[in-house]
Amino acid sequence: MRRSTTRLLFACAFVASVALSVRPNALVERGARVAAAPTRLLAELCAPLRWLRLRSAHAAQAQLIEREELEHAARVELRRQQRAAAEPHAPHLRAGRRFVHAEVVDRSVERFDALLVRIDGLTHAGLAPGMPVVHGDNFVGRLLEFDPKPPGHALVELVTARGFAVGARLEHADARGATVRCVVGGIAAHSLRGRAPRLALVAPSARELPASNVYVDEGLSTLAPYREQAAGFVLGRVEAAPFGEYVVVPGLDLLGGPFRVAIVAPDGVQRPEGLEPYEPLSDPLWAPARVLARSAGAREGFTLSVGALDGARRGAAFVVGSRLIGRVLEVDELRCSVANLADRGWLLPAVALPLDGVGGDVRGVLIGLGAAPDDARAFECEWRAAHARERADAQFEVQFFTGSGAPGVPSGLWLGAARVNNSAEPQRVRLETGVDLRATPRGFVRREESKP
Amino acid sequence: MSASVVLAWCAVALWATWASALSEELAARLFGVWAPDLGVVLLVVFASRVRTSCLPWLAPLLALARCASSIEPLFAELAACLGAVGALRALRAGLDLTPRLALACTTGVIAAGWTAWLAWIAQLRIDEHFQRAALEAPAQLAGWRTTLEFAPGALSSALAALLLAPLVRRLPGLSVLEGRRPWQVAASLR
Repeated sequence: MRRSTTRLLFACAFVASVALSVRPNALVERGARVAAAPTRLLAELCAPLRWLRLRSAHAAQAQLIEREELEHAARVELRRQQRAAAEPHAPHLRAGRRFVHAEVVDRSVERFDALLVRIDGLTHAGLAPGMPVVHGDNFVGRLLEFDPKPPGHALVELVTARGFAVGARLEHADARGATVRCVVGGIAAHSLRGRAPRLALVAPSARELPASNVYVDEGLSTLAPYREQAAGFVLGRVEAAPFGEYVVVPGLDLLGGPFRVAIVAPDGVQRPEGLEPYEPLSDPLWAPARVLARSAGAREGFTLSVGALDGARRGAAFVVGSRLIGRVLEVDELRCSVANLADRGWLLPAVALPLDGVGGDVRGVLIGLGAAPDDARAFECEWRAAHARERADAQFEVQFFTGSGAPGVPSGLWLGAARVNNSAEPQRVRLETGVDLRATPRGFVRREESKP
Repeated sequence: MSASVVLAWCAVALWATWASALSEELAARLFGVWAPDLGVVLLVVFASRVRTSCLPWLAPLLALARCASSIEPLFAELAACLGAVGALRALRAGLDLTPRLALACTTGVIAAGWTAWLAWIAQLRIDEHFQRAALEAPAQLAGWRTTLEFAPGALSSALAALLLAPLVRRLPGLSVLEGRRPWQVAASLR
């Protein structure tokens, strides 16, 4: 080959690789995945370096095994509390109804204001579209449709959806003592400027509305199915908006959560009793993985022995027991790279469970800020809680778990323990993992559901 | 291509993989941000000696070797390798890179540029990630890291090149790919 041709090809390769680094292309990356398959062999050649850290690997493994029982118990307790929180607490909201639990697993790709939920027992027997969906005393939306693939999954349309409308009544009567009725649904235009969304309130039966709670009440629409089951659940609180209009401040953070909901069915519905919640840690969708090489310094992570052929996909969880170690970053055919929790820039929906059990769990988002400079068993994060808890103390100890909605990451995986402020403001926390995650020698990677 | 050349390339791949993995181990166990990038040291020392016709193949091979032990994106590593090899090719035409001091200086500059490039790509990914999630990135993640943060790695890599260059030159396989004429003769022919 002529030298000028070589130079031209070299320059083209350089420009193309720069462009693909800045703007990744799925098709080219797929081809590159195959081309990069030999890296698995090269990664296996790092074995002599793995032998150097056998001692720390054994120590980490022993610590992980030792803590596994505790972490599993914490996970069970979290799930128990989440189930309890999903059901209404007010006795009048429990009467004449049956509650079917479901876990939020994702947001719908096609409809942003719809949640994909996994129903307990993986069966929708006795359930029907249109049934109200609640979290505690709060109204969340309605069951929209059942997703035949995978089984036991359904779409829930949130009250924030554009076309959503539900009849409502205010807690307080108007000046003449008459019940104030209105229709609530969709996001109010005023809330677009702010961070917290407001629900649109239309067609109120009075001109001036008092600042009071709004409850679902579809008593006027006799054709509305399941109106008796939906009646009385909280939509939020009326707030005066600019230009003389009113909006509803939702009683629940509908952007970040909820992670678990209850479908309200009539009491006599034909549905088997005692259906267990789905436990993703016990299903066969886990591929055993060995750590081939580890990355430290600027980026923290591992190269693992599983790849796309084993069902690994980008974003999948890498776990040991019921603890999350990291998430898959890049996948080749025969290997994958995983960023562990000490890496910078990851983002996870999370739940903080107070160690003393006071006040219940707090939902929010956890953002990775990197390894702690002084301790390999800790890393730093930013915690953005959806709300503060009613507690006397300003700071308290919590255990963090993964929340719902991150594809490939089951909810309730243990992340670490930390001390947090009782505040909804973003705060920097130091997560103690008790184990040097970088020394983890093996674990399991969540496989794609279509490749069991 | 003769069997000895194929074997030589295999040896280069092995050395590059081990060098990258050893750098990661050193960062994890001993030096942290002060860990030298031995992959870059190897690349600069190799690129200063190998035949010009071999240079274009060095870049993809080293990118694959680095990806075997690193979690950086393949194309980012490939772009860094191609850029470094291109820069070394251009430098070689005008400078004698075989003295240890020249090697150390070149290694330092390339290591700093390499880290800066990978940090920039990582920052792009973080920004995209937060944009998709409709969230504001924390202040600690918002800005690109300063050049001073790359300095420790670049300095230690330069030092490693200064100390290890003779050893790297003697690694099995390199002699097969080495240019047969000294730099002065080769440069005069360009």
